[in-house]
Amino acid sequence: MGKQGNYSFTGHIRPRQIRAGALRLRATFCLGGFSFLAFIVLTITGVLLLFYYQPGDRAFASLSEINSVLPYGGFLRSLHFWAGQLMVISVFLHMVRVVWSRAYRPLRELNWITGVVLFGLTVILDYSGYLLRGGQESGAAATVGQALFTSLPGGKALATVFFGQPSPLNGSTLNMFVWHVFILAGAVGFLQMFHFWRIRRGGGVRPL
Amino acid sequence: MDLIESERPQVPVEVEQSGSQEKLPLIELQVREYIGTFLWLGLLFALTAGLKVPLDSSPKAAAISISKAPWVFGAIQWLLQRWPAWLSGWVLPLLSMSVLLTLPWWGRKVGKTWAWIIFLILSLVWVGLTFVYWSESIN
Repeated sequence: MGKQGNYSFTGHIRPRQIRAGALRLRATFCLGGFSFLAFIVLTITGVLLLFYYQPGDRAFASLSEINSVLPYGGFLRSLHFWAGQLMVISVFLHMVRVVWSRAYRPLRELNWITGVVLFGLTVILDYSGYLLRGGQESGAAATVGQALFTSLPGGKALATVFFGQPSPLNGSTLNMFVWHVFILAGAVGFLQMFHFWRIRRGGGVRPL
Repeated sequence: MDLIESERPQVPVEVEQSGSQEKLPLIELQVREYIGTFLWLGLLFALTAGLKVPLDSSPKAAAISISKAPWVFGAIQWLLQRWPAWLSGWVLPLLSMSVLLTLPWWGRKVGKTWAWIIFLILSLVWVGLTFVYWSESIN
């Protein structure tokens, strides 16, 4: 894919003209756009937190430092937290709107499936972020998750890949950090681009 | 490169007649995007400023008995406290996701109204259980 492919992609994402009907607020309530906006805020605040956060045994101590020592650190952490919660809610409401307006029907079936996968990944991202807080609550949540995995045949190896070796008092591990920051966030970012491209390609240009 | 005309979705007659197929310049969309962005960011900053996110209990403090889940997994946690792990942690969530993924197929098979009802029941059950778990955990 060369220049023409790039032009095609940007042309679909930002077309010169859009349909008037798609601009009505009630067409989308801007929920897909709000979800993407939350993802952008999460990416920016997440990158800033990366400079100070340390996964593993130092997780809780590094978060305490971010919260109390780093200028605006507490604000940054709160922003990351609330953007995450708003993203889960707006993705869910976006799904409700799509089903209500029957926008899952053909030619948009693949986009519906991508959206459901995105919803699942968003929920798992929220969970992995909760574990990275590194306190006793995160340790308890990691223990429940690990127990669920190990109840499956061969699940112990899967649990190790996903959770690493968390303690019941601290759910933050390097494995969980890699999943949260790189794999899950990367997959969500890529799928969102694909999702938008499919919407535009189907002719359904929506506001925000 | 634009779409081949035959690949475009069929536009309902009423939409064509309502004039909603009229084309407008991109700036019309951008203005709405900017307004929406400012409103959403306002809500986010208000939440951030108004509701401080506390730290968890320190892992170095005396261990306290906690059975807690983030609110997004509250429904599963509530089920786990009552039913076997294989059912509450795997079968029910995966079954719900499978129904969601195949909703376009259900729409064709049982009709759009039933597809909506199926989705509504699923959503109400999971959201309802999340609220039940949340209200029990704060009491």
